[in-house]
Amino acid sequence: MSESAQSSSGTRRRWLGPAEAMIAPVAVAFIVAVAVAVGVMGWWSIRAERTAVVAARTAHIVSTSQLLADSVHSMLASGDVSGVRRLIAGSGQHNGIEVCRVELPNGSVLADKETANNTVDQLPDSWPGGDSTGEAIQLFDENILTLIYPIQVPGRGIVTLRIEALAGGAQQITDSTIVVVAAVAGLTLILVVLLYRPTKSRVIPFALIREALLSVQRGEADPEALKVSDSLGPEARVWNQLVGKQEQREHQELLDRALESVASQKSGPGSFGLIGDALWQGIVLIGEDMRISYANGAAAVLLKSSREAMVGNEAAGVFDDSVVSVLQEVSRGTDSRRRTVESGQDNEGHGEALRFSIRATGDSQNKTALVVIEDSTQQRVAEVSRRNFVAQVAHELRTPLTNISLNVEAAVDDGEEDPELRGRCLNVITQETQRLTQLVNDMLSVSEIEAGSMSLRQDDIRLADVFADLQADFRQQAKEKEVGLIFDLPPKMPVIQGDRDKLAISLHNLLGNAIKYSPAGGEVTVSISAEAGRLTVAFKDKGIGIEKEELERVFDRFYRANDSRVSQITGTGLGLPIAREIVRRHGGEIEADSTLNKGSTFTINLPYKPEAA
Amino acid sequence: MQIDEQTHGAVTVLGPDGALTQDDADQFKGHLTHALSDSSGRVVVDMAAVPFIDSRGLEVLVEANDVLADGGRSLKLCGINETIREVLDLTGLALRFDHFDDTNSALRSFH
Repeated sequence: MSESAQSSSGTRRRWLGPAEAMIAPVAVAFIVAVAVAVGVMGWWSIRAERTAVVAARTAHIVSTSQLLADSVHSMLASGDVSGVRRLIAGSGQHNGIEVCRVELPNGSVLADKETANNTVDQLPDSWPGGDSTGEAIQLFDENILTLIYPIQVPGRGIVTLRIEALAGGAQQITDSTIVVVAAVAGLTLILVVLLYRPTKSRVIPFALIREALLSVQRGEADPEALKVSDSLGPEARVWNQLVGKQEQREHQELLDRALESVASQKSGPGSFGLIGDALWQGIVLIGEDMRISYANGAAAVLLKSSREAMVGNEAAGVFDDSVVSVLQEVSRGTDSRRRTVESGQDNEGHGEALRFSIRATGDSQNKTALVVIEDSTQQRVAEVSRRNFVAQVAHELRTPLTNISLNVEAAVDDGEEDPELRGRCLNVITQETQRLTQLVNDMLSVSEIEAGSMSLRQDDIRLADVFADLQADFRQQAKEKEVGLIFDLPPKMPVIQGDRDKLAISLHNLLGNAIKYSPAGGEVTVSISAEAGRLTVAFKDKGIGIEKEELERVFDRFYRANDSRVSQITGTGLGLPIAREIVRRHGGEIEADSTLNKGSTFTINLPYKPEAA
Repeated sequence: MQIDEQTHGAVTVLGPDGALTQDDADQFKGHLTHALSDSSGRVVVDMAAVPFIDSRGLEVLVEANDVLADGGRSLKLCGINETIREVLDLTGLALRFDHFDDTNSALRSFH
C-alpha cells in the first residue's frame, strides 16, 4: 500500500515535482478563474457597448427620418415633387442609409435615393389606398432598421416614406474591445507565469514538509527520513530543528527509562527491595559518610526502629558503640575483613542478643559497609544453658563421686577392723549411688525434653493410688527431717487422663523440694481440689521461701537460688524444670508463690474433665 | 478466655484455651501484640487447645503475621487441629504461617 503510494508520488514528482504537485490544482484553478473573469468582462463590455451604439444610431436615424418625413409632407402638400426627389437623393447619401424612397400605395416609386429607380414622373391628382392611421412603423431586423412613415398629401391620398438603414458601425468597436480584453488576459497569464517561479521556490519547503507529515501518518518512524534539505530556506531549517528536538527528546526518554530500570535493579524499591524485605536477617548498607543508605524491614524490627528513622541518618545514632567503632575502622579502610560483633546480652543470657556481621563493600575510592544483623538471642540462651549444664553436671557428679571414693577408701583401709565404720561407709556409698542415679534420670528427662522426644502415654490415672504411693515414698524422709507431712485429700479422688509415671515424677519433685527446703519441725501440706475443668494440687511448706525476683527463675535448668541456705542443701536444679515441662505437656501449668522465710506454695493446675461415669 | 503464656528461654509460647472467635479473639490479639513486642517476635502460638476459629480470629493471626512479615518472618503456629487446618486451607492463608506439630519443634526453629 505504502509502496504503491510512494511510487505513484514518485511518478508525479518526475512530471511535476513536489511543489507543482501541491500548487498545480491551485494554479489551474486560478488561471481558469482569471480567464473566466476576463471573458465574462469582455463579453459584457462588448454587449453593453454594442447596445449603446445601436441605441444611439437608432435614435439618430429615427430623428433624421422624422425630419425627412415632415419635409416630404410639406413639400408634397405644395406639389413640389422635384424638391422631394432632391431631398431624398441628398439625404440618402449620408448616414449610411441603405434605402430611402417615397412610394405610392400601388408600389410605384415617387422618389428614391437612386434616382434611376423612380417610376412615376408626376404626382397623380389622387390615388386610392394607403394606411390612413398615420402612425410610423419601426422594424429592426438583422442589424437593419426599417422605418415606414405614412404621409397624408392633402386632397390627393397617402404616400409612404420608407427608410432602411444599417444600425451597424458597431462591428469595428467590438473588434477593438476584443483586442483589449485579449491583451489584458494575455498580460495576466504572463504575470502568472512570471510569478510562478518565485512562488514555487517559496512553496517547495512547505510541499516537502507536507510530504513528511503525510509519511508520518503512513507510519514512517525514522526522524531522519522526515528531515528536508536545509538549502530550501528558513522554513526548512526550522522544521529540521523541530524534528531534531523531537528526536533528542525521544532519545532522552529512552535513556531515562533504561537508567530507571538499571537503577531499580541496583537499589530502591525494585526487586532488590523485595528480596531485602523477605529476609529475616537485618541488612543495613552504610555509605561513605557513615550514614545509612539502605535498611531492610528485618533490620528495622531487630534494631527496634523504623526504616524512616534509619535511612539517611548517621549509623552512630542507630548502632551500639562496639558496632560503630568497627564501622569506623572499615570506613577508614584499615580493615577489610569480615568482622562479627555480638551485643546486647549479659553473660547469664538475659536480654536481647544481636550478632552484627560487618564487611567493607566499597572500593578504595568509595568506602561503604554492609551490616548483616541476626537475632541470636535464642542461640545465646541455649549456649548459656549448655555451659551451665556442663558445669553443674560436673559439680553434681563430683560431689557424690568424691564421697563414694572417700568412703570406699575408708572401708578398705579401716573396715576390716571396724565393722561399724564399714557399715556406715557402705550406707553412704548406697545413698550417693542413689543420688547419682537420680541425677542421671533427671538428665535423661531433660535431654528428652530438649530433643522434643518426650512422649506421653494416655492412661487413666487414679489419683488415689498416685497419692498413696507418694505418701509412702516420702513418709520416711519427712520423719527423718522431722517435717510434718499433711495430705489434705478429698474423700473421692478423681481419675484423670495422662502419663502416670511422668506425672508421678512431677509430684515427687515438688514434694521432695517442699520437704528438702523445710527446716526441722516444719510442715508440708499437700491439698487437692477438683473443680469443673480444673484440677489443682498445692504443695505448701513453711520453709525458707524464695525471693520474688527469683521466683520465675527457679524453673530454669540448674538454677539454684542465691541463698546460702540453699547451697547447703544438695540438689541438681533440674527438678522444677522437669516437673513444669511434664505438667505443661499435660496442658497444665505450675505456679509458684512464695514469701522469703515464710514458706512457698507450688500449685499444679491441670485440665480435668469429670468422667460422666 | 484463658490464655496460657509460657517462656522457653527467649521464646514466648501463647496457648489460647478455647475457640478464637469474636471478643475472645480481641482478647487474644492484645496478648499476642504484647508478646510480639516484648520478645522481638520470638513467639509461638500453641493452637492445641483451640477447637475452632472464626474470621475475627483469622484476622488476628494474619495481622500478627503481617507485623512479623516486615522483618521477613512468619507467625509460628503449632498443634493445629484438622478443623482449623481446613479453614486455613480454604481461605488460602495456610502458606502464610509456619506450621509445627508441637511446641518443641517450634522452639527449635528459633535456634
